[in-house]
Amino acid sequence: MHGLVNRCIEVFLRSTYGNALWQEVAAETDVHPDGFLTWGNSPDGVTRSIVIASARRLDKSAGELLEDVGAWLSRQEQIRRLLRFGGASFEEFVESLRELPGRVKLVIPDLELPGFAVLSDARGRYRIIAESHQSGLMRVMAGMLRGMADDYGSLVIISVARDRIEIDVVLPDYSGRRRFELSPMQVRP
Amino acid sequence: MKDAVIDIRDLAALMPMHLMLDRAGVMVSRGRTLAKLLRGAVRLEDVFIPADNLGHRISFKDLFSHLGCGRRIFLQMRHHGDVSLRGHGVHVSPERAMLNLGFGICLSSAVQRFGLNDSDFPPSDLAMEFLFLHEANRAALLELSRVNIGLEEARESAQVLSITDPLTGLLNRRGFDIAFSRAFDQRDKRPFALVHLDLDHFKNINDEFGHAAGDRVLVGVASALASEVRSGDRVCRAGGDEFLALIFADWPAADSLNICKRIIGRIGSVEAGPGSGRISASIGIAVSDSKPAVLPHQLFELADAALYRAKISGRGRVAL
Repeated sequence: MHGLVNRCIEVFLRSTYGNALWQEVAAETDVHPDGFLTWGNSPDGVTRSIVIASARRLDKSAGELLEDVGAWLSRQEQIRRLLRFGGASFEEFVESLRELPGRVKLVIPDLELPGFAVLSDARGRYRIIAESHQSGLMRVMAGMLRGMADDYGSLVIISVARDRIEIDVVLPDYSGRRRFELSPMQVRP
Repeated sequence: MKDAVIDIRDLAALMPMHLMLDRAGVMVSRGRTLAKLLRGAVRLEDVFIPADNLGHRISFKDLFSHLGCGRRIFLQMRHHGDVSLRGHGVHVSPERAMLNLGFGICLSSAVQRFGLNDSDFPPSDLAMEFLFLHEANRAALLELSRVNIGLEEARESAQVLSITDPLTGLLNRRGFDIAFSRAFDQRDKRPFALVHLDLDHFKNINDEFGHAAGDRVLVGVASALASEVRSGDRVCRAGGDEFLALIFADWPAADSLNICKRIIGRIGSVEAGPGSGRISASIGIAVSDSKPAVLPHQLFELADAALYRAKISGRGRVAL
């Protein structure tokens, strides 16, 4: 797995549950207690064992933990902003998700985001289907989608099963939309 | 298809950065986004300074006649120095010309200055991708610089550890050798004394009082040494109960003799434990301007020979 993926899970655990939990997980999974420094690849098994070990300590399923990672990602201002470049409304955002792997590749060429298809059979209803068996990615995406629905102020029902996500936009303009200016200079609080 | 007609409002939406001009410089139609920049201005020259490829100011008449033939034109905003548009144009009739403009590299400043948002850019425009990339790049660079700082700190601490004696915090032999060879190269400019210190009967302390007591003595001796030398001098635990020091002085023989006598006095107050008696040390000194020492290892041999003389002359002494 790309070092950034491991780094993301590490920072999520540290900032959400504190350093002590991270230290326990690192000790159990034989990861350096200082965490992931470089962007180098490590075997996928390392990522998997970190997720399993921390989910067990937090009394969650691995899927729930990954959804939390996705929701947390969507709340990180830098990442939230990059995601908001996807569209002016939540629907546009979902429709632009198929461009996400390409956008990621533009910035970090060696971060391989597995492909997925976005389908729509009715207005406001979408299905995201992973191309290969990547249940972990679908969980992270489901969490991220919930976070972004919130950001766009849309009321959305999202359900996730192994390799697919079902999205039902109930009310596109349910609550206030968070501000998004193209120029980051303007959003200084 | 010369007679196709497009409604002027459709044109403003389809090409939000277009400008239709007449020969007199009046802007007869403008794209939706461009309208945000122009506010209510009527004539091109009220808002823009026309320029050529090299950025040199040209008259509107020249601009108008230069249009077409694949030439680029530049329009510097009169009241916003950081925004300059570039584009090209064609004559649609002898009296009228149409320009299509873009922000080029000034995109970020224009977005900021005029509060543009994604609906201001048509889907065919790469502006959003450019802004996304600009921001994503910055985030990636920030993360990379965190990595660099982390690696730099790790390298520094590894380097310090690799030349430090873990028990006493003095230099280890490797660190001392680096300091010594540097000092030896500059001995003509900056003379120094090489001090070789060895504790007397240290083995007995380890045997009688245990290794923990032995370690305490070594730490005590290290602090005695470190507190008597001056800043800039270097002190090392070479291994076991052997210590080395570099003392820099204009008169290295006399100065180091004084310092070493004080060191021996101070070591006398280090105790291994109750009833252990006084600790003593012997010291041999060699100075960098000694005639026989022309090679680094010869200086060590001289210091070692002096230490031997100090030991046989009754221990607890300094020999030069």
